[in-house]
Amino acid sequence: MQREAGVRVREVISALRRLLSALGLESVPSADSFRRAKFNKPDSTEDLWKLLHRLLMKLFERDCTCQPPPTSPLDPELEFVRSALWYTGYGGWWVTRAQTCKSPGKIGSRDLLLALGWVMSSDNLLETLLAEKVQELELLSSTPARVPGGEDLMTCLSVSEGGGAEGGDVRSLQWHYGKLRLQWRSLLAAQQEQSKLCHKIQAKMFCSREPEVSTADVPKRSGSTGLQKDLESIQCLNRILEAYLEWKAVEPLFWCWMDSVMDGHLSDQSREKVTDESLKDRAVPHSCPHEDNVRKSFRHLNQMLLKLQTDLRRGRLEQTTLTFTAQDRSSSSAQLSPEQKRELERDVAARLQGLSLANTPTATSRGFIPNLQEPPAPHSVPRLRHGVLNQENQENKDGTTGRLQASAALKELKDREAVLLWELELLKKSQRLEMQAQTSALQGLVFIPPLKR
Amino acid sequence: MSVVTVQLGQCGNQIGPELFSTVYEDSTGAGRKTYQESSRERFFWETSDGVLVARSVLVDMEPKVISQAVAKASKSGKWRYGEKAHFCQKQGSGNNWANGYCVHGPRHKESVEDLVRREVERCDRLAGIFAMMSVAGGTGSGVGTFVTQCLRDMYPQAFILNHLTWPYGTGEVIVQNYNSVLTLSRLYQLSDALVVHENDTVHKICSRLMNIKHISIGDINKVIAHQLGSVLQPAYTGDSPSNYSRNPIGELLSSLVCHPEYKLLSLCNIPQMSHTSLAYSAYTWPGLLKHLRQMLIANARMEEGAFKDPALYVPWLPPDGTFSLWNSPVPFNGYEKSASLVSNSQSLLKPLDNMVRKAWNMFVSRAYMHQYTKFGISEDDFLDSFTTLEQIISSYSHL
Repeated sequence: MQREAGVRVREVISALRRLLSALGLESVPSADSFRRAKFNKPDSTEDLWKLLHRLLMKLFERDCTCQPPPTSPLDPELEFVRSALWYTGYGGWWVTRAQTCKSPGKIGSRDLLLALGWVMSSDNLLETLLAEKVQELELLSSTPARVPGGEDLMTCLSVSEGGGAEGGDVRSLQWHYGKLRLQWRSLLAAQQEQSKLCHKIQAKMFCSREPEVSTADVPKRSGSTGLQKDLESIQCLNRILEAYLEWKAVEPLFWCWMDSVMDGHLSDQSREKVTDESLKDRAVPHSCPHEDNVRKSFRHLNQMLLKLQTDLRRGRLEQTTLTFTAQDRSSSSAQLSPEQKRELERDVAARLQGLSLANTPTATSRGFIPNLQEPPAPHSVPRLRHGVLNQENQENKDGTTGRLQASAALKELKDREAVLLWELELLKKSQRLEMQAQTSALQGLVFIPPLKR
Repeated sequence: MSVVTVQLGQCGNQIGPELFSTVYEDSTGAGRKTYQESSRERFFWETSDGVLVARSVLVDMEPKVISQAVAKASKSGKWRYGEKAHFCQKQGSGNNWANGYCVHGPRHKESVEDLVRREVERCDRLAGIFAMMSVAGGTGSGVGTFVTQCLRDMYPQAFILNHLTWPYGTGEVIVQNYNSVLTLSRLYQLSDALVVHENDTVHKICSRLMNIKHISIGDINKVIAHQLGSVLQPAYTGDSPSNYSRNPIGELLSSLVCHPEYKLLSLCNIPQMSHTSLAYSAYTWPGLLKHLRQMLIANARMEEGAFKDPALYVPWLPPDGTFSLWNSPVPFNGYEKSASLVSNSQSLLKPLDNMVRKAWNMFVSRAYMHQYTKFGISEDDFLDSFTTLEQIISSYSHL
């Protein structure tokens, strides 16, 4: 059992390593390095430090162009990492109390691992890097959506010619611009055809081999080098997307493993019998924000249930008081209370249903790889890129590896969208009622609600 | 370079099979292998048993016309429609644009989108989507506009060409002008180009040139199909002078409709004559071209110059950008020589103006408005459509 768990962890970390390498980070430490870091072994400190540093450099390379002053006595790398982590909100002891740690060697590998976990989980780091890489490799960027109007072209013309342009010149420019756009669209169609044919060739030639081998083995065409370059960049992009999908499938396991690292860290701290209260508080930021979200939603759910239950109880109480005091009242008010009760129950049921719908984990809430064709699934990634889904797939859902049929995934996502939209409507309605109630209470003010679209 | 055809409404589903038959006959009779292959790939795909299936989706709210079209195609034995490539309902749209656009369209959006997506996926390369409809009825115009909108959302970069059949001036449908106005105003933004055939004009061709005594809808459809086929069949174009063009619709559009305000295209084709006199005709190219030019200037679509005269064209375009020549070594559809002219000009200005004026007169007196308002089309929508069309008319007037 232990060995199985160990093998799983190794697979998970290998997936992460592949993704990070594909995204352009060099020499990512091995899975063993990570595992040794969990037990705070000193030999993986340097590897993890380098990884952390490189990751933060990549994340902040656009924002951070200034160098720390050379007169500073402190290690510039350490300073950079510290300030970057402080910026992301990490409160580890070696970040918040600079005087206690003068060199990276003093930081334990487990601390570095926790910092790495923090950075990865904050602000969609991997998604940001992925988006940047995709944009870099994307062959055809999008064009502006509309033809520039008369005013835009007039300003262009007046700048270039230094004089007023006639209406005819504007139309001529618009004509040429339109022509360019149409030609661009023709090129796009040609590119789509090309990738479709490439995919067909690959599928026919390498249908029995492993996906990694097939992407590397496409025979070099003796044709144009331009085509070759395009092919290479498409292959590179495919590799990145495949690595990302694999990572997404095993990501929850990674966070469970990080939880175990956290537990180890906290148990070590309690064993040291630290009495300093501030340090205990500082332990809180170490926790995984991913888990925090789950805790927050649970708390929210508890509060909602409590509120609904008190409402129900209040409704019942009111009903009993009404029946007691309404002996001599007209029958209409006595009829009101069962009505009220029914309405309240309906409300409660609706709210509970909404909560359960919104919070039940579905197959799509875990990571999953969309299954578009017969395996191997990575061949289908180019088609996914072009937004074309093959709905002829009859393969069953494989729960253990998280593969999901594309149409089932679509259906679930659509259901979820409907549930969320319904929730949104409820929230909007309640807000509107609240606003109206508040404004009707104000004297001397008339509330005109905004026009419905 | 495959064209996916979407046949909408009664008119679309009647012209569609004629077009496919024309194209098929033309490609079979040609005897040139590349032409045949090229033409076949453009319009058909081949099943494993060698049967040609049209790349087409048929949509109508009544089952009658679709079943006739499918049956006729299967009976011919030469080509057929796909088994699941059609979508129809039991009740029609009652010649009401609002019914088609607001009720039937959204209700059946998923199914129609699904059908089109399947056809598009089957193509190696999508040359474009060719939607055929009439602007007078309810399904063709209403559902057609909605479907074009969905297709534009699904394929924002694909070329969408709409073929519109304008009704007779003294039409049989009372609200045809309303339907036309609403359709045109929306399609102008959604579609890349609108190829227009007027029933009046085609009727004149039939009666005067082809000497057909009792003109039926079938004859009119045949003429329209002939004209469309002559444009859509493979040809050598400016971009690919030695092989048949792989991007016909893209090239057509980039020669003619680069400006977003001028999207109306009209088509004329000569010679048009009855089949019996085909064998006795002898034409020369200069004669044909002079004829076409005269037709262009005189705005007549029936009859017979080089096209290099700059007086023909707008002054703000460079002279070599205004005229493109496509040719094909293969005779088309039994004619030894045939020339077609697709032009983006003021020729449609007068019919458009008439249509808008009639629609406006009806609108001012609020005639039949309740039929539209009850389905969700308000007077504001009408006013917007009128504004758009007035703008189009004004742009063309200032050409």
